[in-house]
Amino acid sequence: MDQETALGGIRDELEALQPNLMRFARSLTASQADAEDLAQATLERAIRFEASFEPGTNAKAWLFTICRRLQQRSWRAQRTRPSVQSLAEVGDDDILVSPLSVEPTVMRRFEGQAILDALAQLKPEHAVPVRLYAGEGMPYRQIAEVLDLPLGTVMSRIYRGRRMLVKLLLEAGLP
Amino acid sequence: MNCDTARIYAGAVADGEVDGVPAPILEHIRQCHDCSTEVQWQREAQVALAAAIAGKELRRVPAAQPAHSLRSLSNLPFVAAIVRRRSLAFAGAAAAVVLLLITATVAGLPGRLANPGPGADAAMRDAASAYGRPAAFTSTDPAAISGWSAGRGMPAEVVALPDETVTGARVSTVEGHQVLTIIYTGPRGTTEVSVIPAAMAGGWPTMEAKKVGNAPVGLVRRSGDSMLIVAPDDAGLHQAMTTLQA
Repeated sequence: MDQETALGGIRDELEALQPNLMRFARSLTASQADAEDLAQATLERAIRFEASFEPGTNAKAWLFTICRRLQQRSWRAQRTRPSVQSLAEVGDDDILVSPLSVEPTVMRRFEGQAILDALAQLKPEHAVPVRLYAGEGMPYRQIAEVLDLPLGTVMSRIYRGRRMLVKLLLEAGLP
Repeated sequence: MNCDTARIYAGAVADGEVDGVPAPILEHIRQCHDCSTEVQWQREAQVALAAAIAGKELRRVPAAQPAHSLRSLSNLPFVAAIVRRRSLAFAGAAAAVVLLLITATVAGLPGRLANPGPGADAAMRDAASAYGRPAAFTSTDPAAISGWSAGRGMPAEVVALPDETVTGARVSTVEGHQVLTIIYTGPRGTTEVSVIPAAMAGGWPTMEAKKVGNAPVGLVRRSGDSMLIVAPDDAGLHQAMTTLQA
């Protein structure tokens, strides 16, 4: 594959991935405006360094990794990175208490908007991997790669994120 | 082993992402009622999340909006400047490529209308050779399988086949495309239905069947995604194809 064909290919992919990037950026930032700025900076950087993309590899993971690194820089600069709680730091009572009074199938009764509202209340360290799996269809290993986390941490964060989401929904009451 | 340790992996088990889960944990979850319930919670939550996110996107993006347009990328001001600078350099090469594509398309058109095309041929071969492989996600609940496939970025409706029960799904890569296969079990044996992109199927909406090795394989071509079926026998293939075509 020659260089121009390869660049044309990645540019098409970047274009097609814009909605995915925007969603990912939104999950990393506090506002829509911040997300748009981050998405734009990511695309600008991706195009500037498009030659470093290896054809045949996963363009979405490459783009999301650029996005996550840019956001990490911003967090470092502002010293406002959301606190990252490890498994040991979070009280199990907070998350792991089973809602025993109802069956898991009650999840089917919640409206999509209620679920998205609950998702928006999660901290980024939980919401981001949950969104990457449910919204982008990324396998766990790819999420670990994009977020630069150990696979086990991705597993626990997705578990905890969903668990918190269920808790929030049940606390709000069954429809 | 206690439940608090094992439950952290409940999400991974629910998603079929078990290659990083220690065997003792899997065994505990399999035997423990509370942990199995936790897996169900995780599965239900994932299905609901995937449907909620997909539903929001469907509402937000009009169906007629082209997925690929340089204008949309150029809407971002910094990107627009870079694209403008670089697009001139590629304009000549792009014109040559378009001319080549037009020539190739016209030259190959009669053949493509009559035959499935190399993409469909490869998909039929791959479907036949993959027949009987284990599911990556196991469930008899069509909604759970739809949720799992949506979580993989391949939202699909699980169509009910006569006398068959859906039992699972897996994803594989064929000719560079991610292909979702839904697995059914019935009195005849296993029937597998793979959803393939229209670009791979080629040709007009129609149905065709052939033997690949000893396996009866059918292709139901549609204007959108098409479907490949591998069935245990000819009667099962005919029944599945008729149902899916309808």
